[in-house]
Amino acid sequence: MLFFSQPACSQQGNLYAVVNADNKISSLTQKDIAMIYLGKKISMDGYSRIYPVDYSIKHPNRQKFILEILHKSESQYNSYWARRIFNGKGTPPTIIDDQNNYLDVIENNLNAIGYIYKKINIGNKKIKLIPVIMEDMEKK
Amino acid sequence: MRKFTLIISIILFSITTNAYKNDNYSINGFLSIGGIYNSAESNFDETLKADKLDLSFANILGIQAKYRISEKLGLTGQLVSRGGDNDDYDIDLNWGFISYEYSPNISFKIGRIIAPLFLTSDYIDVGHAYPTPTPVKELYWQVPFSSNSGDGIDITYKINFGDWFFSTQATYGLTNGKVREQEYKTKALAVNSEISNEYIKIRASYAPAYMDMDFSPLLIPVINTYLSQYNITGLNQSLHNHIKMDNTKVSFSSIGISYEDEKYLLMTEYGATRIDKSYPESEALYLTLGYRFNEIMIYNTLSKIRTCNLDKLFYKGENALEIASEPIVNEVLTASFNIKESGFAIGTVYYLSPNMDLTFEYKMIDTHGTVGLYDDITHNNEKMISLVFNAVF
Repeated sequence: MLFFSQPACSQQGNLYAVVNADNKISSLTQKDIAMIYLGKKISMDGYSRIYPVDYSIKHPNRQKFILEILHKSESQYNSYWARRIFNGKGTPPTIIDDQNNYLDVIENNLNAIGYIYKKINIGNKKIKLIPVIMEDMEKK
Repeated sequence: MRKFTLIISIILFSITTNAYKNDNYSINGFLSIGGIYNSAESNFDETLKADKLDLSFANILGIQAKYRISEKLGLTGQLVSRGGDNDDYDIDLNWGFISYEYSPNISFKIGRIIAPLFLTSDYIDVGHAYPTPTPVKELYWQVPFSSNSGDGIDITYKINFGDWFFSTQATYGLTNGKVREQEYKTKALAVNSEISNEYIKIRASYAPAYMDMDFSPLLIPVINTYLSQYNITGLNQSLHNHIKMDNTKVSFSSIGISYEDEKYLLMTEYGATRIDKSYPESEALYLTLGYRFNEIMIYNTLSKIRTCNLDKLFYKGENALEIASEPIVNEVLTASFNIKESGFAIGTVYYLSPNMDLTFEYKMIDTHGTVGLYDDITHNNEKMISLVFNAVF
């Protein structure tokens, strides 16, 4: 119960990728994380597959992420994945229905990646937060 | 139809819940159901009823299950039941393959797979995945069995270049099936490459194949109907020998581009067939432009097809049928193979929820005095009105 009750009104630029503490990813851009969640970036090192995890369907973080980072409406996002699920070419990010397990899933999987919209105290969890470099903000 | 209704009831119930998924397996599905009115007086393509509301042609439902055997090995099966031909709603295995991921960049599939010929080949049965109520016929008619799958192997290579994603796929397989009750067999290699980013996808494909098929039971009655008006008979056997495809080399090539952002949608695709024997070659294209505001998208599709190289057909040149030297026979045979058609469609897609939509389309068709794709007699203007509900779960 570290952070999930936060409202989804954080300013753009407060997006953090969450990865396992032993994961070698050290920086990510907005485009990197968008491509990961669209199934178009499948590996950061060419050897190990990335496993993106997502919040439950109605979670405000997910809705904000789809709109602001993936630049899609929810129906566009669903249509997009419908094109990939039914051809065996891709699997959408795994939805963690119990949001209290969100960090646990990442902690227990070296190649899992998630996101949050506010820096949190991770305590003794074996995860790390990586600020996502926002191209949209750099342009401004 | 009764079994389709039963399955739909189950599907609709499922849509109100979510797709089932856990760490090792997932079940997803798709559904389209609706009606299409086609004004053609009598239909060349018997799968879509002429001059009446067809409540079967657009109907399709599919259920897909994926099971992850291990980190690298997976099993995928997709069952599909569709309307159209004879309203049979038989259940077919569309996909059924074992996949092996050698590395994040290279993967293999073996089993029942769909040859990736078109921009939308991979999801051609999933109506929710594209704006038009059915695939644009002017292009997709060129390979009438494109949604039928075959047994074979597939290798896919994918890699990132900066912000771009590149993939290339090669499939080799054997296909058996029926087009309008006529059996066919193919041995085909299909290769495609695509490059995409968040918004744009550019895709090219080439598929050479060897094909056995006999369309003469369909074509000869049409041709003889024309010829009987001039009291000419007796062409049956001669025509049959020429029309039958026996290990005939055919090929299909295409290039497609799609662009989609928050507001705008563009899809365009060009495809061409080349056939060694009696059938005319063809080329076709379409362009769809869409604009989305809130949960509604309006779109416009322009489409064209034409047959070409009619001069090489069997009744001309060195192997000409003797009787085809008669001007009227020549004219009738040419008219039977000549297709030129333009389509202009406007439509709306209303997204009822993120996984359901209702698509309405009004399409005007000009066959330019040829038989066109919808009518078996020369007819200049036709219209089609479609209303289709699509869902994925």
